[in-house]
Amino acid sequence: MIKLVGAVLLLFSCSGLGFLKSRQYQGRVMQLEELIHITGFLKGEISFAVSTLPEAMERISEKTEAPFAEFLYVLAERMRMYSGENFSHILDELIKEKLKASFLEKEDLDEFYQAVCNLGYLDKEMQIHILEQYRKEQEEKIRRLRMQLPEKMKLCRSLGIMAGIFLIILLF
Amino acid sequence: MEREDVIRLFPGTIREILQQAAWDADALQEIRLRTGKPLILWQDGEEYFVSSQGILTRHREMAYLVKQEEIRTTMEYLGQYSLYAYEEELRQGFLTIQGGHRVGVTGKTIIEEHQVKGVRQISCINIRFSHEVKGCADAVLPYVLQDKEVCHTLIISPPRCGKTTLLRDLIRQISDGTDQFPGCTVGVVDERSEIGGSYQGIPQNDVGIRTDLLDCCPKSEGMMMLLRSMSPSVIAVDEIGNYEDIDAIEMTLNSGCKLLATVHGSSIEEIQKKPLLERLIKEHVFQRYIVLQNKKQQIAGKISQIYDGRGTCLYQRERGYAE
Repeated sequence: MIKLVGAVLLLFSCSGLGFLKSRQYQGRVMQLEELIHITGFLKGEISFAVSTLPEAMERISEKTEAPFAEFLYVLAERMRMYSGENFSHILDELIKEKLKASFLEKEDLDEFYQAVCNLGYLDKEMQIHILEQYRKEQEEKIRRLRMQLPEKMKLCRSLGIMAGIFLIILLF
Repeated sequence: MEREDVIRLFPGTIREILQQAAWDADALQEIRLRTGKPLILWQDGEEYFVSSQGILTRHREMAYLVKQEEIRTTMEYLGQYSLYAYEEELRQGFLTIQGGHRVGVTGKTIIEEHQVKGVRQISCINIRFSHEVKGCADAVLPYVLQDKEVCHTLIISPPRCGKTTLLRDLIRQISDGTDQFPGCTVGVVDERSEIGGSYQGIPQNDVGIRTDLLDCCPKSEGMMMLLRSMSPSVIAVDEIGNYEDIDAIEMTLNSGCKLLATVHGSSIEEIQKKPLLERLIKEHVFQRYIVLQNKKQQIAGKISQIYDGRGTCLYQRERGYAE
């Protein structure tokens, strides 16, 4: 009986890991899309509203979901403190603090940082160009990931279940 | 202006240096940052280098050298992380920050169709601190008014002698009124944001309760706009001298408005040599000429002489006398 319970738990936990990993792949794509929305909003704020960057960040935080909402809100607050740090330092710190637990990979966070770190210092045309370039690159990345997504999700789930079965056989 | 207001404009090391340095917020005129060059501060008409320990010194070798990154971060702060929002102003090489202080920048200009479109890769910053001196026009106002009306007045002054400060206080007093004068509507064309020191369209200096101010507007267009829509009794402009200015001035005079203006120079004779102003002076357009004292005499911002439209001296400061 205990063996049966153990086997079931093992199967569920390994399957769970597999499903979690597949969820991460899916989550990464969704969050990359959210980043594209954020940079789109930023582009709009810079082009048309011509609001200051902290104001723009705060407004955009109200239109996005976790974890970006909190990230943008805290970023706006830190900028307004004028504590002596430059914007790129604040941005880097908060990306590591607030977006570490997101589904995004290091490469995604680095690319986002590179696109945003010069905001507020460059002229409008350069900023819009950089944001537009970022959007195109990320859309291409999302397209590739989406193509691979069904296969990867299936693989992760299958591997999770198979690993569970394998461990059960091995142990019992 | 408080010390803290100035210090928070700067990042990191420069902020620490200024916190330690013994400078007077009321006497502070300029802080200059140039990449790889000494940090410089102007106070009470004197230039000082600032050392890394915050010591104000005349010795260049002791000065703290400004880094490129500090220029960049200072610009981020001054522009509220949003230099893109100041493109129009940066095209003219400056931006105005809260408090009415003017930030001049130099670097690589972006040219489009032979016109300056902006400034990139900023390498030098000059923050010029605005200090309004309320009451500095007290002695002048009785000469500018005649029979409870404002006279067409031209303030003649060398650079950095306080002509804009004087003009600002004249505007304020004419707008607010005094015991002897009821006050009237004043329209101001503040082409370089020096009179009102406007921030987001709101004058940061006190320019009076009946003053309408056009910020960052060319003088000629601005005068026309004010005449058409704001019914001013007096129009005030700073630093006249272009052909377009003269045409707009003539229209202003024909409309019945009184004119307050300033011009660079050290005497009526000197500005008479300027072709554009020669005609205005010969035709006795201006009813009052206020000449400010030459800075070389170490008494900046003081009135030297006041003349009427025909050149009769109404006031002459005695040589060597200082208030």
